[in-house]
Amino acid sequence: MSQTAIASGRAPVRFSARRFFLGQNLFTATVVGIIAGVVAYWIGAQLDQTDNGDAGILMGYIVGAAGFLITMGFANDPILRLRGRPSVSVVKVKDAETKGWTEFFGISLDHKVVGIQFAVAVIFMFFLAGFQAMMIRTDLLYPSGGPWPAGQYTALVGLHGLLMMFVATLILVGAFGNYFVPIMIGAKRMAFPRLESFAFWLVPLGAGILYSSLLFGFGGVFPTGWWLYAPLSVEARAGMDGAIVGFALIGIAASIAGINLLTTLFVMRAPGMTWSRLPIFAWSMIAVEFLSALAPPVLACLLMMVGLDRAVQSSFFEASAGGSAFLYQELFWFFGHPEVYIFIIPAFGVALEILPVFARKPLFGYRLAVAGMLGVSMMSWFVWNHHIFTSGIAPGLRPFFMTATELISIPTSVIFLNALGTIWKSDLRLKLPVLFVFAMLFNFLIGGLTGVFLSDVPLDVTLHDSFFVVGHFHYTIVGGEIFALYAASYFWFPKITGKMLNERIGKWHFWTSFIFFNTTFMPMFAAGYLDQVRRSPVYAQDLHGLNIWISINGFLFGLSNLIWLANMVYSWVFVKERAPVNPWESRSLEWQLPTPIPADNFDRIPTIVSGPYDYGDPLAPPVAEWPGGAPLPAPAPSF
Amino acid sequence: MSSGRKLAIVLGSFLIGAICLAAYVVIWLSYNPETITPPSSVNSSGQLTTHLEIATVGSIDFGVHPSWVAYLIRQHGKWVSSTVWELPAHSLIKVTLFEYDTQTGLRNPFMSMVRGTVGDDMTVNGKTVRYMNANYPAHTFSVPQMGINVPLEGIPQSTYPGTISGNPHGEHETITFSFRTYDPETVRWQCFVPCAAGYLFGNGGPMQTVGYMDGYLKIV
Amino acid sequence: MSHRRHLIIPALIWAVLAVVLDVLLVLVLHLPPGYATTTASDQTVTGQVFSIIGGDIFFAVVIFGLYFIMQFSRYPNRERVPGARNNLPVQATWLSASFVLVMFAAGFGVIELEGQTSPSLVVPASALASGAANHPLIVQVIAQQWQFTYRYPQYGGFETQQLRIPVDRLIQFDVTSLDVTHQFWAYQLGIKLDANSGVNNVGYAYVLKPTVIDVRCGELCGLWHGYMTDVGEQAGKALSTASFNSWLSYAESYYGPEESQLPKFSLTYFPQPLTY
Repeated sequence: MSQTAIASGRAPVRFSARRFFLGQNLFTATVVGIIAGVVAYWIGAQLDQTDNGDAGILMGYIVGAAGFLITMGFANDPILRLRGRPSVSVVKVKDAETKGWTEFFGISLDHKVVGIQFAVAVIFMFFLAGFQAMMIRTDLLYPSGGPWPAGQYTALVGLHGLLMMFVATLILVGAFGNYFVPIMIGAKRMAFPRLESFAFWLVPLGAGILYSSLLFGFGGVFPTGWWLYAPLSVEARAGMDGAIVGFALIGIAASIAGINLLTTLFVMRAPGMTWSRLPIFAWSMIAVEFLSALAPPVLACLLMMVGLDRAVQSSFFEASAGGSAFLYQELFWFFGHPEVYIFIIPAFGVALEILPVFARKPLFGYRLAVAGMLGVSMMSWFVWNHHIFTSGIAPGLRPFFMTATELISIPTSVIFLNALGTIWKSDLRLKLPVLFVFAMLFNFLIGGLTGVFLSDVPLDVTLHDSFFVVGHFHYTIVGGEIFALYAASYFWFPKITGKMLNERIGKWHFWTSFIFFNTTFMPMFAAGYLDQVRRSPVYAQDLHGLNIWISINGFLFGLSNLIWLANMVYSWVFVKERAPVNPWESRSLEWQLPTPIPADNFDRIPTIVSGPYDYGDPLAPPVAEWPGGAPLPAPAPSF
Repeated sequence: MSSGRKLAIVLGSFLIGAICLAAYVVIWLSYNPETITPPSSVNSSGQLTTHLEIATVGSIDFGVHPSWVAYLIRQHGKWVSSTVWELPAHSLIKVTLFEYDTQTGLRNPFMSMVRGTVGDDMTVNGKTVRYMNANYPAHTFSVPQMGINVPLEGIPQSTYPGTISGNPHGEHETITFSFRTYDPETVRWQCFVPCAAGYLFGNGGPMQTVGYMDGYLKIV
Repeated sequence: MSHRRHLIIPALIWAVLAVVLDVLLVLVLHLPPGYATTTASDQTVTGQVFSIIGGDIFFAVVIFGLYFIMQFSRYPNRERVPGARNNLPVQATWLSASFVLVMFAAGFGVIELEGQTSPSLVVPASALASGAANHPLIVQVIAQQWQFTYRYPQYGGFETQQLRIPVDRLIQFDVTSLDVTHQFWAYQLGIKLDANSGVNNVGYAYVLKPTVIDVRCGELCGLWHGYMTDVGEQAGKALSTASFNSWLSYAESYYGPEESQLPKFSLTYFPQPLTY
């Protein structure tokens, strides 16, 4: 839909062939991107002085990506401004009914639309990467190699890992952060709506470029796993370039989303929304965005260096030509450790946001929770060498990083105190969102404690790069963040879609996912201790039974995710009954608005007069004062 | 949007998604390198012997990567591009290898020593050899899991390297050696001469692709 | 009604389970990597200590959490007064206890890491003392795509694909790579050292008893990463001194003629071709 149409608030028109084939839309952007990419590839190939053709491929990807984004329309406003014209005012479509489904396939300046775009795209990527995990576990049913020969196995591992990293980076921040943060703070929009949409469109672009490495054959898909370690990544075949460019684009998307959310949270809070009244989920967004804005640019530069090594034979990472393979590892993990905290901090925010609602009690230790999340965020910059203890780092660094890593578990442990304190003497209602929060806390406890094992250097000597690490990070990322995603989906689905997720299907989802998740990943600690190397399609014969158990339970865990998907689809399509506007009786601002939330969120910005966690107190004032009257009648409190 | 329309979209998406996933798996499975079983015979004392005829060429001249170095195996008189070979267990494997490629030299000169074959040696054009000048090998046939390493002497650099378009021809060295198989297992084999032009260390491309410079021995 | 029992009951349950777990971990569960070297022994003991601490913490949080969930969902508290938002003594206790536990774990690790009795990644004093008897046996581990080979510079510098080391002698592993990054993981020795090109990564082991040594590459290094192992027939071995000496004689004669072709012993190598 063109910017003019948005600005005038007109309803979308019927399909027009001229607009479809010549206008700025997803179809034309894809076509132009591919053509620009092919032309740039050809030019690069002519200029390439080496035998490997990477210069052309990299140029093709970069120019193709630029062509796609420009044709989508992201350059329109900057070009207008360069020409001295006023910017198109940021006016969203006024009437929710006139949005139409086409808005989800273009640039949208409505943060709620962008949130849904993120959610759908990233959940699709989650299922694709999860399917690949099933393929990996199929191979590991056989100790001496399964249906995929060695080269395909490492390709599968790399595709699964890298795509899941994309998912984990963006799912909570991109979907729920973008959708709810402006509403939670009483704002009508994000600080930079166009940038928000730009950050979204980098995601299918990055994932698409990543998967284009399959065009170079299965042996050509990148063989390095998601770390993309040089010099193997410099040595690899052409499919490596897709991984490099795709990962860099996703990093840039995360960085832009970070800057956007941070600015929104700092400058667009409603009157009265002091820092001590900010919802804990919003605080988690602040904590995470320091990482999200600052760490991915390191990755983008690092991948540019790998690209240069590949394309023009610079020698950043080749020791015999003056470079250092070790440099890659240091730079990568300087990004890589903050990256994993980008995954878990929003999950903390989701968990602590949901818990008080169902405990009908204020969040215990609100300030401590904030301090914990900010502490984790700050300290995560100082621990990265714990990923490379055995790489030959200077001996004096090991005690420092070991101690720093162990110290970071102190602010991390605060969330458990908050949770226990909140449910102590509470009026606890065991609904699905809070059940998933408890499951997330259980899983993250195991993940966190096994992280302490790995932080101890002597233990790390045996456990590094074994299946113990695989178990640890699946417990923290899947057990922590993805279970928080389940909780968030059950909690916020009624507000986004106007339907409740089915309770009975949800209970099946809960028990199957919790049980099979633990039965899949717990034995991996044993496998790692028993000498099973990660990223290897072969293992010792005596671990055969253990791997069969893990694989079968892994398949069942995969099925439990399909139950979740089925629940979302069933509830959206088949359920006629509209959800109550505030089924959980939450005090948070988004639940004080009707469903669907109006395009501008608030007709008039409310004034915040109390915090969102005053549950269980009959004398507590409402959260906000609404000029012109509250959007909804005040509910009879049932506590 | 009407509920019927939603249902249609959802079912349609699932159907398309399922088809795509199935196609995805089929494509992954379809790339399974062809397995060749060389001929075997049993001699009068009951010893099972398998005869393996292999050639190595500087460029294979057909297929997806015509310029890549490759191993080929003779089956029914024809040269086949396959590096996955099925061998019987508890057998003596007699290998005759025609080396059509030029000398490249080893990255690690340790690989210039013959190990793990019967007698720990091989013959090159009829002459028994145990150690070789580290600059002479064009390729190696190495099975680290069985302790086997055979450096394959290449033709001198000044000679035009052999190529095939279905048939190897030109100058070549004839190398023979034997090794034994034991219990059934699947082991991998590789070449230790980094000969992939255009890749760092010479170890990319064909050096890391089953069907060219790497393969499996399926001992059954 | 006092809510103190809601703290006492889970505490008692936890106490019982913690004792059971601790006994199991110390007496029943044999944690890897075992006791073949001083390093591996220390790692095994550290694993037990961390498992005890971690297990106790896990049970504490889970038992208290489950108890609170069951108690306050079945018998919800509907006092209709504002619930506690803070309890400074509780928060202070929690933070202090976590700090103490963490510093204990860190201190334990530092002492073990830097300790001279369990060398792994730090030069032990005995390696620096003068005298032939104190000199470690140097084994250079050369990683290449996709096999480990081993050089013995103190015995002419011959190279072999079999790892053999003697017991009762400090072994110094000098690990390097000829190409991409690999990782030398000698499981029973409790040794793991990355092989980076242009880097000499040093680790130590003191073997206490003869053992098989399963060597695996732990760092993704290309097509045959998973197969870059010395196990089974090709596994390394720690031998008695007499057996090691007899292996040395055999190896020097078997691999000796090859030595003239090998490059001069060096801590790192940059072989050609580089070839892009």
